[in-house]
Amino acid sequence: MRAYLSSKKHVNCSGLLVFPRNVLAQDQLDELKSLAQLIQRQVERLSLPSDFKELLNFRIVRDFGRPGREELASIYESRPDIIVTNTEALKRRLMNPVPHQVYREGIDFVLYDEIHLYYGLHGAFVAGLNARLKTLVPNIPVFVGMSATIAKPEKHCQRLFALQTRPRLIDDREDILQRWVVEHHVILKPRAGRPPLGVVVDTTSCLLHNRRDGVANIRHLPAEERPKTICFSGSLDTTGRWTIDQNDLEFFEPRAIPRQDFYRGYPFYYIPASRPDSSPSFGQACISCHDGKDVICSFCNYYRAGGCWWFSQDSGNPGSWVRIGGGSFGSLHIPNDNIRSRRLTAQEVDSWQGTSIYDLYRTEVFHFIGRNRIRLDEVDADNLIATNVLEVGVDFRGIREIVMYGEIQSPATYKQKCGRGAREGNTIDGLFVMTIVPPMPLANFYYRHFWRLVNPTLSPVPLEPSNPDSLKSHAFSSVLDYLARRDINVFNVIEIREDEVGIEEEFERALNVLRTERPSVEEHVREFLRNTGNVDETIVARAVSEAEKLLIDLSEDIELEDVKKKFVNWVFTGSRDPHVLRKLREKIATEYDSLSGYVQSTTDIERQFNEALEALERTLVKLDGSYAEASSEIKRLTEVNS
Amino acid sequence: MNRDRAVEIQKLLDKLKVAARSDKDLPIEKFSELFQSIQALEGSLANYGATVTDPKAHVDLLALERARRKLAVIEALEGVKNPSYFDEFAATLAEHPYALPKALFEPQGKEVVTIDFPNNLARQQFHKERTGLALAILYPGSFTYRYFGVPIKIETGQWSQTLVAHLRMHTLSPDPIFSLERNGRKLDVYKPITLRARQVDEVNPFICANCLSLAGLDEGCFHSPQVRRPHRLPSSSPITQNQELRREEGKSIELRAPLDRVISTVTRLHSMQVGTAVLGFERSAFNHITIVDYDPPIGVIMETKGIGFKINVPDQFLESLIHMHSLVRDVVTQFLAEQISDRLSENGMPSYHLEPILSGLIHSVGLDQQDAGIETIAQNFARRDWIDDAVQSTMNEGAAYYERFDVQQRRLRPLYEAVARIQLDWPIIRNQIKAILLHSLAHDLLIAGCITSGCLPIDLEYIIKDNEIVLFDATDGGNGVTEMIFDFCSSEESFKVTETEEDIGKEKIYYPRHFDEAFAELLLPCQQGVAERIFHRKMAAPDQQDIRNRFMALERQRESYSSEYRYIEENGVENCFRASIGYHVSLAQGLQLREADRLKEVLSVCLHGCPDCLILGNKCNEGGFLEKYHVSKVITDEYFRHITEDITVEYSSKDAVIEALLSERGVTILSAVVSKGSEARNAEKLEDRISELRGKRIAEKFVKFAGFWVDCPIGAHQIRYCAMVVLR
Repeated sequence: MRAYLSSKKHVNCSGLLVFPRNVLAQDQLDELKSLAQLIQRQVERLSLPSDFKELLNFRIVRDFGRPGREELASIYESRPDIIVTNTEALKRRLMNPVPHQVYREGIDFVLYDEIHLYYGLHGAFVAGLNARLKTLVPNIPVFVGMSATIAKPEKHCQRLFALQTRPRLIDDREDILQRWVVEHHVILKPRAGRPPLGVVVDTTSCLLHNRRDGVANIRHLPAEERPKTICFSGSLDTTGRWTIDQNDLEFFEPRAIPRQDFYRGYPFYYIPASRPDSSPSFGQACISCHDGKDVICSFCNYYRAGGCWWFSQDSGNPGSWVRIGGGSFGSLHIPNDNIRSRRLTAQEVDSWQGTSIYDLYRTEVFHFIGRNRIRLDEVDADNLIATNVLEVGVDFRGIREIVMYGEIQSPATYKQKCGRGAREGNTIDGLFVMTIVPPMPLANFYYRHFWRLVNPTLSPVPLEPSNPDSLKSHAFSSVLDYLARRDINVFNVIEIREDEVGIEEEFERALNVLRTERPSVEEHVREFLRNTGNVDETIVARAVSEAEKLLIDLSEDIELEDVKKKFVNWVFTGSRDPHVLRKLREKIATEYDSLSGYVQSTTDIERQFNEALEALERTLVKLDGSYAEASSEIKRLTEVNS
Repeated sequence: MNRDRAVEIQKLLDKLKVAARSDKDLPIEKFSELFQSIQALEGSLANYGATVTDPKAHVDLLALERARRKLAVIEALEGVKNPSYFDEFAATLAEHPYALPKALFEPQGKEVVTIDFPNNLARQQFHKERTGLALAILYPGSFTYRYFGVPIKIETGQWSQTLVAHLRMHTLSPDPIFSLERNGRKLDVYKPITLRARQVDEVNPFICANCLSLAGLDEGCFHSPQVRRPHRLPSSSPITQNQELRREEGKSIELRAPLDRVISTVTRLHSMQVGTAVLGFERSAFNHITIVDYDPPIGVIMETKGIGFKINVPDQFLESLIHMHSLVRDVVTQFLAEQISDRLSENGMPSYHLEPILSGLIHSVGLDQQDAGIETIAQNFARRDWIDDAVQSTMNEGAAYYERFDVQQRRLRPLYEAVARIQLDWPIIRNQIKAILLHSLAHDLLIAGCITSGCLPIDLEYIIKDNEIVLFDATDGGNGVTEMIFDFCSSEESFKVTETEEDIGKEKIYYPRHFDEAFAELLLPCQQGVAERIFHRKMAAPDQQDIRNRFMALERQRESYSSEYRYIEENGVENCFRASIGYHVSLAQGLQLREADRLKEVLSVCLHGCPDCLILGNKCNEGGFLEKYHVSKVITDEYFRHITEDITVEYSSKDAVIEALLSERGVTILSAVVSKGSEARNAEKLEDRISELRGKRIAEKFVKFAGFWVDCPIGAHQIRYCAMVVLR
């Protein structure tokens, strides 16, 4: 065992787990860590040597977001077994020498979750990334792609993972599927002339109030158990407007005095008795209806016109409003039975500081004084209005409604979004999926063929790994990969803060390597291209030359206030010192202006020449035939000229 | 040019001088003019020869570019709080596409444009963007929140008087990068090099309600300040046109019946060069739309991949439509809309005046007369005596139904007079029908492509040629969409369209797996439109779920809109399109604005495409505003009927007839017509007939049910039930 342990001192990385969204990556990281802890506890009980126990423990690390320099170093120095990451982070790591200590030892498998999201040009870029990774590691990792919503996954994976042969498909068709959730699917198309977003706000409010049967009654429940909603829209702009309009309708902005004179918004629709009306269908009939003695909507014109929210117990009653904030701005209140919405986009997820994913269902209450926004408090949110950031993988408990608005790309994307709801299996209320169709071609198509959304057939996804732009960009980046593999640190220029001379030397080393080891660098780029199946010697040569040119530009000596440094150093000194940056800008701008003046005068001379040539040609054309030959000669010379 | 060439030019000039001096026939004025030209060229030749042949010039150009990139690095740094890694600033130094991708979902693009914020104190002045992206979201006249979190406008200068934005403030390529033809005019397209932008300080700037230009920025306008109102930033979209410049053809395939009659071949285009031009933009605010043209158009050339569809439009089909008077009147209306739209900006009128002006024309020329054919319309139009009436009618309509109608008679009359000079006859309308058909099919192909490949409409573009429609990947270098469409174009298996229920109680959901099936499905009559026609013609509702649902909605609406529905019943659903343009019907009936709006709402019956079938909105090459004048569902319906005519038989046809057709083409459509009460059971009989045929063995194959739909042709008061059977 000792011999085994000594041979396994440097165990290579087992797996690189790549997730398409940070929220999903965090969610899966949490799951994996709890699994690892469970295993660790079991291992601890065994009577084994401590170093063997150590070997059996999983080291799972997170490498996404923006880890600091020390954090990144500690991640990779810890020789992790499993790295949870995303493609944006991987893109940077390949050019950074720090992670190469792990890549150099090899990676057993690379797992991509939700592979159907890597399609089109984005898929091409990710395919290029995988081809570069394969060029850097000594072994060929096993690539694993996972998706529940893709047809012909073998072909897609072959392209995405830059494989020469078709991969093997493992499916779960033999698993016994159990239908254990009730789903309600509704699709709405706004009537001509109605603003679609207005319909979205109204119907969301109507659906949520009527499904909650008293929002105030659920406020005390823990976040996991509370009924929750996710709304999806692909547009950043729409999520913002939707959240603002939804919260506006629900009186989410605190007020000194609760509204008594409702003229719009959710309380307006509640309890027909609150509206003086002599209609015979009101009064007793309504009570019967609410008691379940009547058939909903059978006769009542108000219900049919959307004027009565039959199930809703939420009245916005002034007595139920709750105080918010510490009172610095007087006594401010919001209703306790309103629907509170929070916007969620990638930007908010990146800056999110919460510890549990349920913290996303908290939202801030602001008070506006003029244009100033003052944060008063934080309260529970009922509804997340999200971009596609929540489309995959994130499993909240207690999601009762999914609302979608926007173009419907495919039945697979619809199913993915629906899949965020009722994960724990709600067979009582069921999951309610409501889709509001904007005037867009595919959304309208699926409105007509709604069953195709509800019971989708999987479809393959397009991917073009030989996109020349993607290949050239990756070929260029692979030159920097080569330098990183040689432990040359030009990528991690933050080091300049401590060691300016060292970085200058690194740039010189890099240039020296590109010049002295050119065949080897080119072979590295060629190998990357070979992995993609597109070897093109022009790309190889150009990628190396362009990388060299870039390093030369950054290594150029610039004298500023009698101090000579390389451009890259000035850039970083300038990033900390605005005075230096201003001086640097002035110096380069002066050089630019003087060159620009010269080039401008050259352009003017060229223009004058061309105009004179054209004027002569026009004059000759106007003369009679004896000058035709001269005219055609001028024309020939003009063409040669152009 | 090298020194030898300069010497060569000088020799030629010397020779020319000698020839001119010895030419006795050359008048003294022309001699003098010639000598002035020669001397001017000699003067510039000396400077030019020296400059161009000077190696320093090239060096300085490179140095200038290097200095510009270094400035860009410094500017990029000003936007990064704490740069740590190389890629955060180095991307601006590298030569695209040999550069580090900023984000893996953003294409690099080999063409980049600089967005310039002059006088943008303490902020980054230059931003490099991919030209394709800039033309999609940063075109002149657009607003963006992309930089600094504040609204930014790409400048246009003043355009309100002519509705043409002269892009002088931007730097464009010195020479056009390609040319294209639009409405018979050749347009040179220039590549943008630098686009100038400026910040919009107001969240709700004042906007002129007449022309929709912004007050206080670079646009300005000559309209009264009183018509300016604060409004949130208007939405806008670019008007683009694509032009194929080069292609490399790959494998070609043929489609299965019945689509082999629509598309003769499908060709893979391994490599193609496409020029994308932005011709102007549409801006909308206050429920109005203004179209502004660029002078000159700007664009970019991209290398991509595509797929070409050769379309078969038989002359016989086009000729047969002459007898469909309501359809012809609609096409004439669409044709005149195009012609008026072209002339609106020439007369300084914003695009949103198109409807009232077209409405006046429809009324005066007699396009709203029932049963008027092309000959009558052409005669009325050629007489030109309608102009006075059209002017009066438009002015009356404007006064009665528009809040602010600033069209002046002195401008309206010349516009009508210009329109009256257009030739209007059957050959022109026949060509127009063909153009509309091709445009409609292009939309169908694009939507079918999205359905088959699971992409979004932004991933795919189209080009319409004489008898070909090209779809191409909307990404420089390709994104795999057209390749996938080609791979899934057609299958060896039997053809199938629409949802089919094979067994009662057993739910079977159909999803088109192949492109041809998705396309064929889009060619079928729109069941919503069919329901509307059947409803308004007071025929019995067929027992189809789609149609019944629509019937219920229409019945509900009729309760509140009874008089409007009566109008449609009396005047015919086939005349709704023209009646829905402007308010000429309401004017004739003396309706109040509210009633007129209700009538307009009800009249928007789907005839020439609604979002359910054909409409692409801003994605359409003609722009969202003019799209409805360039597509027609009625024409594609007629076309589909025509191309399937030879495989369509009565449900009661003998087995031998059906079997012969199936053997020959592999597909047959059985139809049952219901036009009077006694035929009500024909639909059931058709179902029975299908049951009899299903599973029958013909030449080692079996008959299979492949789809069912209901039709209600615009030219006949009848319901047609159609069922497709195929051999498998």
